[in-house]
Amino acid sequence: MKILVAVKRVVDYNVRIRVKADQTGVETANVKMSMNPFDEIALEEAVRIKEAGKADEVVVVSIGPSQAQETIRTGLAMGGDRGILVEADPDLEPLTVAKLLKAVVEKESPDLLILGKQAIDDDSNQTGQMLGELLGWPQGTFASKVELGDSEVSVTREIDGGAETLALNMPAVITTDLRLNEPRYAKLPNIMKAKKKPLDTLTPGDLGVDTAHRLKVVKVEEPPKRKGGAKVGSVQELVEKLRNEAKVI
Amino acid sequence: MTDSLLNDRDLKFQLYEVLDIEALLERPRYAEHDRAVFDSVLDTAHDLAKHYFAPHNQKGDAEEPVFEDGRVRLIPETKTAWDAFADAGFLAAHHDAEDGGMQLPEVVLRACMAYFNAANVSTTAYPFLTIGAANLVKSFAAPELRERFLPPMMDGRFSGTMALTEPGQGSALGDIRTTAKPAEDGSYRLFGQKMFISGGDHELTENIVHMVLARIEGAPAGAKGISLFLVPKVLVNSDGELGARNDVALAGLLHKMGYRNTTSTVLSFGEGDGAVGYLVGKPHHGLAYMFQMMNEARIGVGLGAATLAYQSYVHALSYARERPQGRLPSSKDPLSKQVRIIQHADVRRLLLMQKAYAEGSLSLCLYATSLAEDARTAPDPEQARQAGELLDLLTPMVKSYPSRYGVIASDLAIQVLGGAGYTREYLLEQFYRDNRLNPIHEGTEGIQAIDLLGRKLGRAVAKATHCS
Repeated sequence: MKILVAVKRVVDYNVRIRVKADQTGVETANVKMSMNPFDEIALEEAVRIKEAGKADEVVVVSIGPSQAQETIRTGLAMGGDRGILVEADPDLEPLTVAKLLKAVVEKESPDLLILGKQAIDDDSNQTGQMLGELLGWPQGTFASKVELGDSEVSVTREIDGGAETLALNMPAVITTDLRLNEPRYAKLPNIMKAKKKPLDTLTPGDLGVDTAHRLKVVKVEEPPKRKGGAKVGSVQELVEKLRNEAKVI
Repeated sequence: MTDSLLNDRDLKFQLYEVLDIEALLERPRYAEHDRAVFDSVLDTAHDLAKHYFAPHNQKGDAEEPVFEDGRVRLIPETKTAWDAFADAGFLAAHHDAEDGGMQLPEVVLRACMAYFNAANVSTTAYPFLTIGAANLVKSFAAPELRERFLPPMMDGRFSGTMALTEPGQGSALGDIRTTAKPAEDGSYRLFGQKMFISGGDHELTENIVHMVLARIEGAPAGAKGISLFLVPKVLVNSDGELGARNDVALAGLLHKMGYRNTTSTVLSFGEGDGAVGYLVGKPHHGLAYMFQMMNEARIGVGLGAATLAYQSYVHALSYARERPQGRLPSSKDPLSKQVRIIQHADVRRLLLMQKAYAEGSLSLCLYATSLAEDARTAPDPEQARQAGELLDLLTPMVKSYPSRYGVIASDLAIQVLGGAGYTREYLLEQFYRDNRLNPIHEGTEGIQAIDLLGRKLGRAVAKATHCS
């Protein structure tokens, strides 16, 4: 049983995001980068499955610039067995990422693919779903609990009305939500061991995937500043304000 | 309120650009490392400090350790933090690979400790003291003793202390009165009382290893009659299993101005048949051995003071950037918008003073650690010797400067916040109280002055005269 986990290098969640002066994107120069927190949860789940004796190998894949090797090494220090970097432009669109991952999946033939539900940089929340569709595999998104059976995996998902549990045939795609687990910190000896674990580098060309952008970013800007709230004296006043000031009813 | 401990960029500037620690990678001891490993270790320290140490800093101050029914009760977060620290491997990190360590350079470990100190200096004291005590065991204990006590001090099952001071004497160690009587099995029985022993009792670990200075019966008077003993709280059989409780009792806790989550204890050795102690190294050489731990601890105290100063500065800076108050002298319109206080000249002065004290102190302490590193691992023996001598000369200043000016930085930080800084709603008053310890412990400022002027400079001058 092999598990593939996709991890993305993103601006660290503690960093206050700033828009570039030319409004083409967000500032990433001299900014701390780290593993997307949802992907840490994905990796933690894979490592726990392996530690429970239900998987033999955890492969950590990242798509991004050469520095994404550091993100993969972090993943190997957390318990991944080997890494694959697809060296590419960091701003790929979700569909391209899904196609690249599909090509990696075809090379690696994992039984389970675990991804974060979204990356905290662009919050697209699309790659896992697109990948499931491209592969023709069942998908369990927003997982808050994963239980592995012999040929199927039970995934409890967070949905609008609460939770639902699905049984998926394997191979399958799972995307993780925050409540699934609490990821571990890498132990220092494992940081050393991670250096010796294999890490292969591929290019989109090797995988036969065209990475040209199909969407055009017109402009990136900060959301408008929130205005202060106000107390209303009565329901009538509230309705009046909603109707005439906010114009929402 | 800010959640920033130390600025990663500032710390990495010190390590990679000022001290060029990447040059260490050429030394055989560090051949297995690279910058990515150092960065990952530093990131891990930052994450653990933030997640497990910082959140209970105020709580540990407000709910100080309690002594009841012969036991010490600490807030439970302290144990979680200790376990996270040990579990990640920080207690063992700088040790040799053959002993189970990862041969992390000392200067990287110190930089990691800066994150923990910044997050919670009093909880960090437990691992800090344990690392120092373990280094003593490693350097001077006989092989059998080392095998029995070092591994559990590296994996976090045992913690450690340094037990020097007594109710009657601390600064004047030559006068200590705790005595050690030889026993038939080759060990000793200790009798006496020690005071201000940090981490002297708690239940974070299943055992506590006290490194105790005592006088063997009939030893010469003064500093030349002092020996070093390893005295465990719980006896350890030769197979490593825990045995009976040793004759070491907690007589009481001291109630401090700051550093409150670190227990400060009065310990009684030998209220009954005598506390079992094992001689470390040769008789009557204890003070010289203990100086290894003390010198390390002195750099550590400097670093603790520097990081508290830095924390005070970071908090004051963040407040000054957000707090609107008053207008600039050039503004004559009373209805114009108030400016952030960082725009006022006097507030800027206060902040810049803090920045200078904090960053200068941090830099000095890391530099001292790099000298310790060179003294130990520089390939050129002459370079190693010079680094050792320079460190020896600088140690009293590395301890004193950050301690003295760190408190001043914490004081100025309170001033930036004004009335708010004087309240317990902000951490500033705690930083000030915590930092006030640093000019006192591990040799007061006066003791450091005696060391510098009476010993170190005298020696250096004699040497220079001799050479010329």
